[in-house]
Amino acid sequence: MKILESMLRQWIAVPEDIVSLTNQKIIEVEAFEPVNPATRLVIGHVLTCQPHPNAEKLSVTTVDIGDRIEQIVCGAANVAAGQYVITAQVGTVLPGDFEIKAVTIRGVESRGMICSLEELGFDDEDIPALYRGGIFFFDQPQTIGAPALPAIGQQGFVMTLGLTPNRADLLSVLGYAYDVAAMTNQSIRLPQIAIKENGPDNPVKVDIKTKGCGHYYARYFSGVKIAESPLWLKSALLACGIQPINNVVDISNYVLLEYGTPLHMFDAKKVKTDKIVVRDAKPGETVISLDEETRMLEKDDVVITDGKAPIAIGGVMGLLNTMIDEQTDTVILEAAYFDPKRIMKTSKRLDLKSESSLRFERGVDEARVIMGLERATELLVQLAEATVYKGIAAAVREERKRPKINFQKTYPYDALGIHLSEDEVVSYLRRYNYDITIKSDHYSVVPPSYRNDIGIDADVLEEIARIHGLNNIPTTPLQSIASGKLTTQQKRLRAIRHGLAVLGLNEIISYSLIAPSEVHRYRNLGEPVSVLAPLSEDKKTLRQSLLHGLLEAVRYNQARQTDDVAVFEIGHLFAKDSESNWIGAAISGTWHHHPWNKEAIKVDFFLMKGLVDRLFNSLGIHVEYVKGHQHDHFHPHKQADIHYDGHAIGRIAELHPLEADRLDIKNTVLFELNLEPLLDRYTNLIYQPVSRYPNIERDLAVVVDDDVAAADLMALIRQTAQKRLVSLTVFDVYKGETIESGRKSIAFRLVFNDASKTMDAAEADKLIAQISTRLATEQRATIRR
Amino acid sequence: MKEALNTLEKESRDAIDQARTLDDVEALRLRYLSKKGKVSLLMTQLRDLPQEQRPVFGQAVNTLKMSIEKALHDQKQALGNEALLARLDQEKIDVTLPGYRFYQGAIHPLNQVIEDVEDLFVGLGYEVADGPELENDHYNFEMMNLDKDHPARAMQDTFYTDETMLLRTHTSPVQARAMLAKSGQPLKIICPGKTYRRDDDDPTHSHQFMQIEGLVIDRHITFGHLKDALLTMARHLFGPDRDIRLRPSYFPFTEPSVEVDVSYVKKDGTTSYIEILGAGRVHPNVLRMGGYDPATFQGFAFGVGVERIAMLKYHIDDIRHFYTHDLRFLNQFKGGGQS
Repeated sequence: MKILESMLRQWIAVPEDIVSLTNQKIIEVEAFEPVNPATRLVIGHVLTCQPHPNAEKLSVTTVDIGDRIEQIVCGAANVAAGQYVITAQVGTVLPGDFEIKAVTIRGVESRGMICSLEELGFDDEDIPALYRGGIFFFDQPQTIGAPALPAIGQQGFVMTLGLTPNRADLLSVLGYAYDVAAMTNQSIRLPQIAIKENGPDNPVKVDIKTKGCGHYYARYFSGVKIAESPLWLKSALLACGIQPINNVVDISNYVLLEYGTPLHMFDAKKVKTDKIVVRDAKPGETVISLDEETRMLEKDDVVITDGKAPIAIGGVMGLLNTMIDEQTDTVILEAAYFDPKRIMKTSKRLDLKSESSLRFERGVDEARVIMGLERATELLVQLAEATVYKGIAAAVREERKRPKINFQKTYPYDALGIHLSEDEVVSYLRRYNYDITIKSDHYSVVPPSYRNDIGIDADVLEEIARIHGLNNIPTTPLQSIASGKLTTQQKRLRAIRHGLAVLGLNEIISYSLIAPSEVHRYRNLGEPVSVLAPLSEDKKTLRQSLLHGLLEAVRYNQARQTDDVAVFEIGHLFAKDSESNWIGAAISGTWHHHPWNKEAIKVDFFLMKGLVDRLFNSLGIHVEYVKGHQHDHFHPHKQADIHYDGHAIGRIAELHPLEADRLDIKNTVLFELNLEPLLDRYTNLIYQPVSRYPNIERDLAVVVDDDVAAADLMALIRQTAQKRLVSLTVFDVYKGETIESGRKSIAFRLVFNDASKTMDAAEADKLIAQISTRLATEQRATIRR
Repeated sequence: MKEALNTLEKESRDAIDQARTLDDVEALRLRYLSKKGKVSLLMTQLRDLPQEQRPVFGQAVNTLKMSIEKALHDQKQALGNEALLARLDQEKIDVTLPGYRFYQGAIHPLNQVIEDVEDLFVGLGYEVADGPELENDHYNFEMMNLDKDHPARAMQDTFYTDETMLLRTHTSPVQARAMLAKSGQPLKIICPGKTYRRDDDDPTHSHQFMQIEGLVIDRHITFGHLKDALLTMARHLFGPDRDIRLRPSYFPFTEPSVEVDVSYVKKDGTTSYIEILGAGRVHPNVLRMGGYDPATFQGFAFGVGVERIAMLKYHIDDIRHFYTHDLRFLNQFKGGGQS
């Protein structure tokens, strides 16, 4: 909503600090600027006008600008002695930062400029035909030397309010004036509009046959002269961003801005009866609206009819069949109150949003329906020479009841923490035009009719808070005995995040919405969930893997000369009826390298496995790796399911070379797993005494079939040695000449310790023998000596 | 005899001084101290001496032996040191060459802001609550006092997945769930998390973004308590010299509602304000739906855009940087960078 200073001034004195006052007490100011940025323009009187001695098309004028007379060379054909004109002085800055200087034109000195409307920033189409291509001159004598902008309605500021949906009252200059008046303790006296009804009786009869219309008023005019609007009216509309059309249309738009009252005009000669019946539309009823579109109506739409056929879609748009045109001379003027919800529905369905529908949707002030009608009548008489018929045709179905709101006298203190006397509360609310009744322990208040957003005590509280000043409310520390804390899950999640960052991975956050065709590429959690109205096809379906984002991070950086990429993400994955928190990582390129020494950690399956182990060991979580179902986009032999507590919770893999090629990235290793089971589990840590006896070490090398998993051998060793085995590591894996084909050698280092005594060599050897026997019988292992 | 001793001592000293290698030293040890060495041979002459001179001579030989041993040891040490020095000289390095490059990862700047705010409020007695991102519109809208006709519920603003489910448009549904879970007991929570709105991505909009909301419900809660929480947060995030300014606004779930600006000093030295968050007193309808009697319980709530905080704090110009995964961006946030 734009507020024009010139319109505001008819009701209130505009305070100096209007911008900060509005911002801090009323609503956000989005923009504040002069209607016209031109400076020092004055009204001049052309005293003489002679042809330029050296140029055919120029004239040399002398112009009285009040305090002096200046010689000005003018190029316009329509300049003449006796005209009252808008004069730019030396030093004037015109729109577009154009500064007027004293110059000599073809040997003649010129000190100033006689302005055209174009030079003042008007578009050609908005300039009255008389002045197009030439200078502007007034049609009546003016005060010489007076500021020129007010004379054409271009003075003062225009302020744009950032409206919130609740403040329908601020959709009019009058509504805004009421709030400024309250804040600055002024009172607004509305002008008495006296209409001289000089025509016969208003022939129109109005009837309302729908709940969608509260009241409906109509006036009847004849002798209406459709013409261009005067400059002040055009200027006002243009400053508010509304295109001038003709005097009749412009008047209804002006009254809309001024009072917030949407009006509609019918060409009375095109309305076939003297009846106006407001009713629900018939389902399937088709009409052609003013924009020449054919519209199919539904039952919830409100239509204005001549008793039979629709002549307007109530509150939303007029119809072509009764449109005002150049020939119109008889007009029916409508002012009405429609049900906001019905208008909202219709304008949304028909995709017809207008300044009128916006106001009806948010709720217009019922008291201003007639006010707007009368203001428009006054302007039609003034600007279109209209003859006003006697009487207002009216129908009132229902009037909105203003709510009565009660609140305790202690409420402002209890809720805001400020002490306000009864006088202060009453004075604040009176300034807002509330009706107030003071009871023994409470107030009973009724908000003004234009504040349909005020319905409960908390709404009144906001009124008190902002007139008192939100910044005048003191801060009060909250005294609380509540103990704040992170839950165990939250702490573990943080430990994981910090752990990976410390290990050298960068955290990323990627979009949850991905392309539906991709959703099952890396993981299938079930039926995918898609949004109904996606912004684009690639942001439509909720992801079921973190790898989409992680691999994109690898691709993005490798495409920009950053080859070493190590990233992780913690985020939700989605399927129908399930949502869970996952972690994933991807590493590509090299890792922790030593460039001039040509050393680096190779990025392979075992790097990622080591990282996963390191990460979870630090949380006391032990995961296992099980060769599981082969997934197509991963290396067929370098992938494993990650198990926790016997359940698969994720996967670790090297990307398939074909998939890496497709993404145009280097060899990449990755893992992702479901965090939910890991975060939930929490075991109490209990200290284990450190053994006072020395360790004893034994190495054991075995030859087994190629497809025997190290994990199975290790499980068997652990099972056999039990608690005396304190450490078990693989220190060599070998395939080659000395080993028969189809077999491999694996060497383990076993560290034994007995917490109760020094373990002797014989005991260790006995354990090794037992282990060897079991490996031989259960895994076809041969022991290498 | 004494003369022989002196001669041998001198001879051995000279020889040991001349030794240039460890092998030389070993040869001298054999020459003088082995069983058939010169010192042992002297001992054999002991028998030829009169009984009374034997102890004196024996002692002198022993002294000589010890002195040779010491000389050998010292020479060995000296030669060892020399050799080590020579070797170390070969190991000269340029200490200004770079070391092993251990990669330092970084926590995403948005999560850094979230953890920072979480820590602040945990210290103030709040708990951290979370909830699903794919939400029921009942929690997201209905319980936040946005009725069916509210414009924010329109398809063009919200990602619906079916008639009732949607991607949450704010973290407020977590508040709704937390209120119900508390069954009428006082509540102090903050809810960080991802949120979604149907906006095209541009420098200031992102269809996916993060929010932190706070909610306090208790007896005797005033607007002053809200202001204190907001001021504390603003100063924690941006510095102790900051101030806040409140402006009236509108949210369906709070009344009164305010926008909060934080002060900053412009380049020309003047103070200006920039909007950082929205807040207000919990709307009685929201309290009622959450299981609280508004006559007894009051509350306040606030919601802050995590991206906005990070952008202001780190002077980031485009919201899309957070979601582009550029390591040259992400890597700038290592070491926490927190106050």
